[in-house]
Amino acid sequence: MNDIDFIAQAMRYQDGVLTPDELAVFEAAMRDDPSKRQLFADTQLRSMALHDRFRQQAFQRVTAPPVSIPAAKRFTWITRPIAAMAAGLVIGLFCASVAWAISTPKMVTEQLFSLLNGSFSENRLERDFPRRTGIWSGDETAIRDGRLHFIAPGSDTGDPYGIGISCDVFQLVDLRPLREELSDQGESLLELSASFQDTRPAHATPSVTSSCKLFLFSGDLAAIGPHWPQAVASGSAQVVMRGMDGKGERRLTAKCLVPTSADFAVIQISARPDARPAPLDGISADDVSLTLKTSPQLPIRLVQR
Amino acid sequence: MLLPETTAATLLAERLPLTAFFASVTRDFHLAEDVFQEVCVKAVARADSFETTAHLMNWTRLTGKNRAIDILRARDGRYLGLSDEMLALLAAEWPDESKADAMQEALDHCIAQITPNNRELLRLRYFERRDCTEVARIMGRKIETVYQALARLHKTLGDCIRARLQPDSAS
Repeated sequence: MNDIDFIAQAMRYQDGVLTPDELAVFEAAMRDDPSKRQLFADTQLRSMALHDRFRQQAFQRVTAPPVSIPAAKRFTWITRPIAAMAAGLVIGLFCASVAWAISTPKMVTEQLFSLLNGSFSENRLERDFPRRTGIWSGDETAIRDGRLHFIAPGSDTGDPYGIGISCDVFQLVDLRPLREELSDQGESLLELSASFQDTRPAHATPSVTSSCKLFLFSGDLAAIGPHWPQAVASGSAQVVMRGMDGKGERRLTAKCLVPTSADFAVIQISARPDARPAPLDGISADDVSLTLKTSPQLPIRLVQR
Repeated sequence: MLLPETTAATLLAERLPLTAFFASVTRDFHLAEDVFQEVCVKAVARADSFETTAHLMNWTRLTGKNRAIDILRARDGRYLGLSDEMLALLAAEWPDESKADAMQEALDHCIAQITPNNRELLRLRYFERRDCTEVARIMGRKIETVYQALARLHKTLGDCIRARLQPDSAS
């Protein structure tokens, strides 16, 4: 296996698409050759650095402070203060030279944000990409027994990425009412959660990748047309499902830090069969919620020197 | 015995290599960052049990790896990733922060050299966290073509970074 093929396999490993046999071959290549282990580590490190870099760029673009803050007082944003927020520790991401600033911990506040019909109690669904807030709309789905059932993949004219390999439903959310709260210096995090169920028999094929995604944008809702503007933040979570396996529902949570300039969000709930053509019988979603978490003051944070 | 401040500072300096290692288990950068933060909180709370920074790092890699596997098992019912044996082998040879810091600086230079199309490929993959199936769909390419393009791009960036880090390289 040459380096290019090996890195491509590392990418497939990251995507979770290697079969058990392919994973065994991939692992054997690393076991037998230290240079392959080094290549895997370098690829992982570079991937993480790229992830950091793009995220940092997005936040620099949208969080430029209106007034000059003395460098010693400027704190660094962390874009993933998830577990640590509850524990009261925040770790800065973007500075090489750091010092500690310690303050009194306060509670993390949570508020359920206005995602309409997240429990699918109302039988209101539209087709194609939504043009207004507060309505689920997208590919062929149906609401039955209080759940959103995915029926067939499709493409949406308003979704530039919709070329018909997954069944997607969207909801647009106006974030502008949040502005006052976001103007505080606290870190605000938006969490999109959804429960997915696969009622097919265990080990069903093809596998289905279920996901929830969250994209935040600045500007006017009308900007969401055939070509989406560049997102100012995004988050996603996904799980591969292969029928009933004793785990029951899978609850996914996608999270992203909210820049103060975020005006609206696109919420996306999807089911994608991993082989085509395939019906999506048995795949459904429920209990979709959007939560804003704000931690106004964290006990440990980093400041730039 | 380490102080909490030393423990936290050490882990923060090693954030990138550690999260990259945890991502080898989680296959999800955000989940890897959650694991990193969770482990940091635990490490700071028990800082006085660490004799040396090497001890701290070994404990952090092991604890983070186990935590990541627990999270995946709780979520998916199983863990389908690299074996314990392989993760231990990788952990023993994993790059440290000195390499990560230099690489991040060089990466800024190298990424400016690639084409806009390739930058978009990286943005979809590493900012929007799209898997290659989705990237292929978005960019109108075949999935295999995307895997190969991404692998070549990684190799190009890796070569550029190495050249950049050579002591006698041009600035």
